[in-house]
Amino acid sequence: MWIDVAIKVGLAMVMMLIVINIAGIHSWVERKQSAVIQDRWGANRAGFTFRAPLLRWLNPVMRPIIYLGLLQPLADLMKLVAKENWSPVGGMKWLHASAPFFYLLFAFVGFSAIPFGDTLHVAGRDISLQVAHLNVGFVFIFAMAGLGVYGIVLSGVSSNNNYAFLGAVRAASQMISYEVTLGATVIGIVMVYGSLDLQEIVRGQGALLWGWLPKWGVFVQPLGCILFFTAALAETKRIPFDLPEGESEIIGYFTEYSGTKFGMFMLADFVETVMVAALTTTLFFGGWQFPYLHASGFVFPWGAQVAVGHYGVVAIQVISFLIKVVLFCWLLMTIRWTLPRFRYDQLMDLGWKRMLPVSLANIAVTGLVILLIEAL
Amino acid sequence: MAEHLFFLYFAVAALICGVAMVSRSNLLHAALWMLAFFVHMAGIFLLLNAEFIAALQVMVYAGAILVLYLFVIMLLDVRELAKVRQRHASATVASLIAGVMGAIMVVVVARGTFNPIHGAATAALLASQGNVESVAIALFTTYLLPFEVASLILLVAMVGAIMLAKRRL
Repeated sequence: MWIDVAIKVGLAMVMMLIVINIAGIHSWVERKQSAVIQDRWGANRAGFTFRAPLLRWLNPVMRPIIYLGLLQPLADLMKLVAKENWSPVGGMKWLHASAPFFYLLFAFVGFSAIPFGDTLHVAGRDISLQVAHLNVGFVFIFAMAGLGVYGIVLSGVSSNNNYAFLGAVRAASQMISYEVTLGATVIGIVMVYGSLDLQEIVRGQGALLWGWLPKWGVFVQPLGCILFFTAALAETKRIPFDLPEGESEIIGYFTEYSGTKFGMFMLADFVETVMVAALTTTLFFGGWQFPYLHASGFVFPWGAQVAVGHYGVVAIQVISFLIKVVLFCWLLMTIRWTLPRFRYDQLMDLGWKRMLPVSLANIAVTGLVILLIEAL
Repeated sequence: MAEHLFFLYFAVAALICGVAMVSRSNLLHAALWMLAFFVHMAGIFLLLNAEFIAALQVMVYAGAILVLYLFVIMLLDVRELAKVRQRHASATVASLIAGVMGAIMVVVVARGTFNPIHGAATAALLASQGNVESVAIALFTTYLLPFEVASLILLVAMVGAIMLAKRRL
């Protein structure tokens, strides 16, 4: 009993560690990658030099770290934490303080249903590498993502600021609009793999099409993949869908936030980005599957075999999941610094008049194809 | 034992949230209490092995319907509304009727005996058949007609709302 609880707590800590670290590194990536894309140097000053004779040899070691701006996140954090804890005059103090909490909480909770590896057999136990094994995994994730709206609405209403309020209205309507498309695109995946359980969906992606192509979601649902990624991008409210935030002008629902509370909104944004990357990986890019890797090792379609031990297989799976997630984070970041912003009517047109009908048609076509395949 | 404790917590907390919801004069606070109420209801569904219904409860009620309420509340000035003393002329009569109804309910509950209802959906069946599958089978076999009628009613409501909102299509 207690050992089961301990295992679950351990899994939760591992997942938290992954998410917090990737999200934290995002703040550095955002500074440095944007600099590279815009032909700037970016952060290259935060740091310190040692004066003490005994530690002076460390200075050459520190220099590349400073030039890469790797200490900038620490400086950012110190600045945010040291700021005054302020709430707007005439605002609702408690709701104002609880809004970033709600936002961050619901951004984190969804990760409990994401599987980051297959079953690990250790000391006679089978540990499924997933914090909460839910029969309805992806409905749970969408429910939690939907609750994230509350943080935004509360921040807008409690700030006593019309700009924050308008930002909150825009954000809430954008999130609701794109959630519909998001849900509709995933239906196709659920129909193909026949389960709402994310672990089962990932296992289903281990099969091979025509003996050589991994049966990943992107190959059986290419349209669904593109629609899902776009809608998920809109859910993160970053450029090109950043109308609610207006990051470059800082006129959005978090206009009246500063210090740690603003930092929480920022962190939640990065956590959402990681969530989008993790969901895209899980649903469309095989999750922890590595092409041609089976429980006993690699079995290539041309007949070659490489035996890998159980721990080796699990390690390759977890690392493959992490690499895919990081790759999608990089792609999201590149999109964010490449594209210009939509106009609000274009955003709503795209969501309701283009993407939603196409995603509904995708469901119908998927159903027809599945019927045809079963009939043949 | 643990199950009883959880049920006790969810039931008591849901009741408290419900009472707090109807007694707040600030609409925004009322909506937040309603959110807490929905989440605790989802907890009770979880105790009944109805994971799918629990997730849908949070997704549909808390994630969609209540957000629409919040939209309306946001467009009102909640603080001004909270100052208005809302007391209707028929409040005395209404509270009298509600009190009598409540008393009848208390008497009936206190006198009656409760037998657990045994439906077709047992925990073992749910585990073997799957949560979503059980709901789907019930919806598309036994309750197909009510299900379709409900969807038709929703469609009518949607068309009506669009007609009212957009005079010129």
